[in-house]
Parts: sequence; structure tokens; C-alpha cells
Amino acid sequence: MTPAYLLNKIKVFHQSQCNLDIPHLVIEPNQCVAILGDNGAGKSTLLNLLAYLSKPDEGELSLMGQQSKPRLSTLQRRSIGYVSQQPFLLSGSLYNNVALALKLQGISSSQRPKLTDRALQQVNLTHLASKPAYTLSGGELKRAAIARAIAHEPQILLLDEPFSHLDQSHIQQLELIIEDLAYQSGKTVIFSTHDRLQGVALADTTINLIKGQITKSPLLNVFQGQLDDRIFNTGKLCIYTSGHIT
Amino acid sequence: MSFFADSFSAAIDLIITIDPALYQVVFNSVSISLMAATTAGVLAIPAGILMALNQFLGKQLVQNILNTLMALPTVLIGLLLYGLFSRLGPLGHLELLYTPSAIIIAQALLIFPIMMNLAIAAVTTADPRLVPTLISLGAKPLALVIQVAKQTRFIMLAAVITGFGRAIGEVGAAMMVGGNIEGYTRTMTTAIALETGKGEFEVGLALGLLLLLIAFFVNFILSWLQQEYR
Repeated sequence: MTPAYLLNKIKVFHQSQCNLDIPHLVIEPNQCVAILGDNGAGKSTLLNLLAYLSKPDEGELSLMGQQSKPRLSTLQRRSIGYVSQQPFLLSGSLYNNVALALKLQGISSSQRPKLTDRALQQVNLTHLASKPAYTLSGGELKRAAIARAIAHEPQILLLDEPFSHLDQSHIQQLELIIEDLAYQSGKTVIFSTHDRLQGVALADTTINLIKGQITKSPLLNVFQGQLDDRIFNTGKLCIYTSGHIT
Repeated sequence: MSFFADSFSAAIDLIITIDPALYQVVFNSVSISLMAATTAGVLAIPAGILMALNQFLGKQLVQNILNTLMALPTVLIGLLLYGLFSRLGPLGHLELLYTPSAIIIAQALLIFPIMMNLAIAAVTTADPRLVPTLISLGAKPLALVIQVAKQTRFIMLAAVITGFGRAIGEVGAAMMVGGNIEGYTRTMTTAIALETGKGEFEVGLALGLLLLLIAFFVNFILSWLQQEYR
């Protein structure tokens, strides 16, 4: 199967300092991948590369078997949905935000209402469709940004720190949405988090970054062991309350 | 004091009685400056957005030139265009001298750097997440410029209005390339200069008051739009 991403000898520098150094990385399709690491570990740098929002200074990046070019083709662009750490909603209503994203992706006007409604439904925001975007709360804003990113039905969804600055109830809602997208809708979901336990619990695969390098962390095994013990028959989904799995 | 008070009273009379000659000048002035602001806006705003979004060799030099042009004396623009449009000039065959078109071109050139600089400032001071968000949503270069303009539309509108204000208030270029022909190229500012020179202070004052009224009306529309379409 063609990998979703193939990274080879990737290096990203910032002011002559190497921020990201990945000799080789394959991300398989239809996987839920967690990029783990502390602040400044290179999680956002890696996600920006995967979203084609920035270019590596060295190395090659392939998206679904096709090597990176200066500009993505429309089809390649359509295969990616990206949600930044602090999503920015454009002026206008929530509905308009999602519909505009579809317009920018070149989706025909006849298809837009149906796809917009479906995306809002997937993140449980249908009831807020007509609300101005600036009135949404933090949790609603994150879900709105996800709706906007998945409206055009991309195969890959990239989420940069989707759980940051959210309270417990919003984290749970978002975990359910990510679970649904990854395991029901069959998308390749790649998200970053500094909460290793959460990453291990939600994802099939984890990428542990320390100072821009992928590291096999012994801690992860400990976390995985804890989860294996506690998840039992609950499947992939586990819900956190103040750092505890319930 | 009596002179000023009498003139002020006469000026108010001219405004209230809707003096046709007075309002012809106002109409000329507003339509010429609106055309100039629209023409300059259509060119300067996309140019400003493109300049703000892209890095290129000599960008700082272009920025310095723009800053210099912002302080360009209006008579200098008038002088240059007079040379170009006069019968012996390279564009003399277009027969633009002493026409409203010549004033529109002069005013558009005058306000272009101001509007472009304001457009650049609008993009550079906008939320830093705006452009990456639009790119991540799949915006191609043309769509990116359009969406950035839409998202910063009130600042862009303010840029157009600032340009309009500068255009309607300038006198040097309009006088030189327009010729101050009554009922044709006479604008409010050239009329004020002429009438005051003739000793018709009340007409000049009436036009001055109307100029202020237009500035107030334009600002009122801008703040209303900002409230209405937030």
C-alpha cells in the first residue's frame, strides 16, 4: 500500500539551528498517528511540513507516493485537511466559514450545502451554523476548524495540538470526534499532543519527538502498559478525567 | 468680525437655497474624486496585498519609493502631467489636458502610493494566522488576494476613503491639468481659490463648508459599515 507520507533525510533549520532532523519516516494510510513531544520538540514544524505550509531545508517528502513539488496540485491539496494549534476563523458565520473552505478547494456550488451540513453534523455544531464565528467558545472554535478541514472529505487530517487550552468536557468531545474520523471514517489522522498518555491511548502509532529528533522513549512503553492494563475491553476509546483514564 | 459673520451667513444661504452653480462644482468635484479613488483603489489594493504577501529582491527599495511618493507635492504631479498631456508632450495626441480625465489621472497618481501603503499595512497588521489559514484551506494565488482583501475589507475601505479625502482636497494638480473651466473641470478646491481671489469670500466659504460636510458624511458611512458588517 502506498504510504500516506514518506519522509527521507528531512532537515529543517531555524537560524542555523536544526529544528527537525528525521532520517526516515513512513506514515501508513488509514492510521491514527500521534506526534508526541514537549513544547519546542518540533511537533508543529513537522505538521507544517506534512500540511505543505512550509518546505524542508533538506530532504524529500512524498505525499501518497508523489514527491514534493514547489506547489501541490489541486488533487493533492484536496487530500489534506489541516487544523492549526490556534485555529483562525474568517469573518462571517460558522456556515460561511465551512462553505468558503469548500469554495477555495474548488468544490462546485451545488455540492457545497450538502458537504457543509455533513461536516457540521460530524462535529455536532449544526445548531450553531448561523452564529458569527467570533462568538464561538474555545471548544466550539476547535470543532468548527475541524469541520472546515474535513468538509471537502480529505483522506488525511492533520491536527496541531487539538486539545490545548480546552477544558475536560471539550477534550472528551474532541477525542470522540477524532476517534470517529480515524476509526469510523477511515481517514489518516495525524495529531500532535504533549500529553503522551492521551496520544498513546488515541493513536495506532506514536512518533515521539525530542529536540527535533524521533526518539524511542522508554516512557511510552510504560504508558502503553498502563493503558493495556486499564482499557481491557473498551476498545480504542478511553476517556480522561484530570489525567486519569476512566 | 462682521466681515466673517456676514460671509458665513451668506455662505449658509447659498447652501440652503441650493445655488445651482455651487452644486455643479460640488458634483464635478465629488464625481472626479470618486473616479480617481476607485481607479487608484482597484490598482493599489491588489498591488499592496501582493507586495505584503511576497518577498522579492528590492522590496525595501520599492517600500522606500512608496514612502517618498506619499509626500509628493500635488503641483509636481500637475507639472509632470502637464508636460505629458500638453500639445507638444508625448501624450499630447490624447487631448487630455484641461479635461476631467486629466484631473482623475492626476488625483489617482497622487493617492495611489497612500492607498498602496495602507493596503500593505492592512495585511502586515492583520492576524498572522490569516494567510496560513487561507493557504491551508486551498486558496490559490488569486483567491488568496481576494480573500485577504475581503478579510481586511474595512481597512481597505478606509484606505479608499482616505484616498478620496486626499483627492477631493487637493488643488495644485487639478488647477494645472484641469484648467478650472467653469461647469467642466472646476472643482471645489480650485473654485475656492478662484472665488476667494475674486473677493467672493462667501462662495469660497460655502464650498469649504460643503467640503467639510462631505468629509463628515464619508466618515459616517465608513463607521456605519463597520458596525453593520462586522
